[in-house]
Amino acid sequence: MGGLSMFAEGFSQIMEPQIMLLCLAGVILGIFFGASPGMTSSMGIALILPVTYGMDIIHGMAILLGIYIGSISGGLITAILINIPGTPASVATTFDGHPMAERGEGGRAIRVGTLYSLLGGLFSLVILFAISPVLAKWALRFSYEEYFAIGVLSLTLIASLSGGSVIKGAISALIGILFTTVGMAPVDTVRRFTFGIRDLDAGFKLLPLMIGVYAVMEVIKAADAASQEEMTVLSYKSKGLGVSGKEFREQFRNFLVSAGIGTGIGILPGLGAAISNLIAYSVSKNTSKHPEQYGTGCIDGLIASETANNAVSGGAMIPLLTMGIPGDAGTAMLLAAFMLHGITPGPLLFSSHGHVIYAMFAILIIANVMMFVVQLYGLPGFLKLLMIPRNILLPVVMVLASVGAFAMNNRVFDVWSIFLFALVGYGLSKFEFPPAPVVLGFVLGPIIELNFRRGMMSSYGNFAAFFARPISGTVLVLTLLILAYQFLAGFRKRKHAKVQNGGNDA
Amino acid sequence: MDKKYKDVIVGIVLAALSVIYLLLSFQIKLTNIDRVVGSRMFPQICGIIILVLSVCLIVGGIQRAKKTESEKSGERKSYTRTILVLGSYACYIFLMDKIGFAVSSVIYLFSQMAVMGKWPAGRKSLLLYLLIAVAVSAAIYVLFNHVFMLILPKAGWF
Repeated sequence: MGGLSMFAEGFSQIMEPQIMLLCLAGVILGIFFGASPGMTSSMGIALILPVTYGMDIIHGMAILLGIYIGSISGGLITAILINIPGTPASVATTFDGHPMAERGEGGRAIRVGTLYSLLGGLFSLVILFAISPVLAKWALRFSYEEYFAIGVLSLTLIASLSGGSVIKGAISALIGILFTTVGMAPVDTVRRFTFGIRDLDAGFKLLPLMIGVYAVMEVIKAADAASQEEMTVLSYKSKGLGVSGKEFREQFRNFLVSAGIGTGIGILPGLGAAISNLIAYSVSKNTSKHPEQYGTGCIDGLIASETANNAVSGGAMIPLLTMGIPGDAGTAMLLAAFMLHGITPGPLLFSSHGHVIYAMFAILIIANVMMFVVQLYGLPGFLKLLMIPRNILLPVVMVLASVGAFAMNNRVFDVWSIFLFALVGYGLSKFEFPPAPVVLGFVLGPIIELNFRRGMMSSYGNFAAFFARPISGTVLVLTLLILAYQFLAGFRKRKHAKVQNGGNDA
Repeated sequence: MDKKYKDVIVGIVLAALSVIYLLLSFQIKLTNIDRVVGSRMFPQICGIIILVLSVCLIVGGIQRAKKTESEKSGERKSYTRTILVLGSYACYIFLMDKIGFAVSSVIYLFSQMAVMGKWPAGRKSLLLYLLIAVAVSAAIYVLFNHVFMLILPKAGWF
């Protein structure tokens, strides 16, 4: 099934008031999570996931995808009006968005940002609709070797691009994997590292890990900031879309490039919105005719950032739906949601649960449009919600998170594991290890191990077989090249620093 | 703690932990189902990579420490709030198991809001915290037990 009939089926399934309301609720919550500093799409999905336990998959997806779409864009509210990026996805939005607000164009900046969030999101959805059915057909031929190779490539990408030291990124990812080796092993269900504790047989779950590493850290950080800083909100009165027809034509190339970058980064496994906005911003600046205006509040930079981060949403769904490989923490939570509802994403999903996919496509379109409307007209409301003191909001978040972890399997063990992961996350952050690779390592670890073992079994223990297949071979060689490059770059940087600082690089 | 040895210290801790992990991995049983790889190999590969990377961290840290002046972390950071945040969360989980979700949540919410707020908190804000704590935990309890149909921990008398 292709083209229009795909959408006809998708929309016909979701055209009921309940689904629309759930999607709207998701978008509102998502924008709120996105706009609240320290709370991200992945946390929003983790908190609301338990609410969907009792729903069917399409109802559940309506609210979860709403959160996913809303939260990526919502970050611009705080980025522009308060100069604090609501999520890492809107860091580059502060560069030009806030200067605009400072000269009294806050409302225009919000409107431009929201419009291009919508356009970027829709652009990536078009790519998603066009590519994913084809890729799914192609991925049907993927075997263990390919999944293993793609898993390893994803981890390499996230470890090397998560910012800071590559060694620390890699260690973070491996720590994530080590936690997946607790419990029953794949293939032969041997118990590993359970120390006779029954609760450990089933292993750790993603939700407690996510909450422990991210949410508890936020609580600690907020508690540490003893002197509560007052946030000043700049004025945001404005009308219209913020861009004239002429400006729209002028910005079209900037938009296309940024949307392409965002979608492409979304498709690449392991990378997400947090990187896309910075890359798109610097590309836009470097190719602009007036780079000197960037950073002073020109709409070019704002458009680049907001187009690119929302364009990630459709791109990241491509590896998730066609191969079951999440691109970032947010899609990792969506993967967990699929699993909870008994659906395994992958190429077979398109033939076995085609109706779910088409419904999701339709929800994604609706969610983007809702995000646009809600963010423009609900702005004063969101700003009021943002004023809720952190010391009241975050404990409530913790209680919700604990409820969610408990309700998953009705056992307090999962809540205790939040505490364990909080300690791990706190330790890691103290020593400047990035948290995102831990989450991706945790999700990709089992995929890598299972496919490694099956691949090895089918080749009778010959690892060279992983290189012998064209796709897995190419991906693995690419991974090796990235590793070699990282190694050389690190080596050169050290040498360079030595020469420059006379051996005194701090 | 001298800040410049940060990487060395964390490297040593990680190396030690990965050695323990590797030693423990030899207790994993091998079966006849999968004689090619077995359930030991993958954890062991990961353990070895972490061990190697932590050694890199130690070596790199020592090299850098040699070159940099000693930099003592200037102000002594107070960990009181961090410990209180983690401690009260641990108490919450413990109590949830013993006295049920509703009451333990009220206690936790109230104490956490007070810990994270301004010190010392006025009587008015404490009253507000208490009100919010009761309202939120009641709302979550009712919503989850009756609307979303998820059962939360209960005490015998609740």
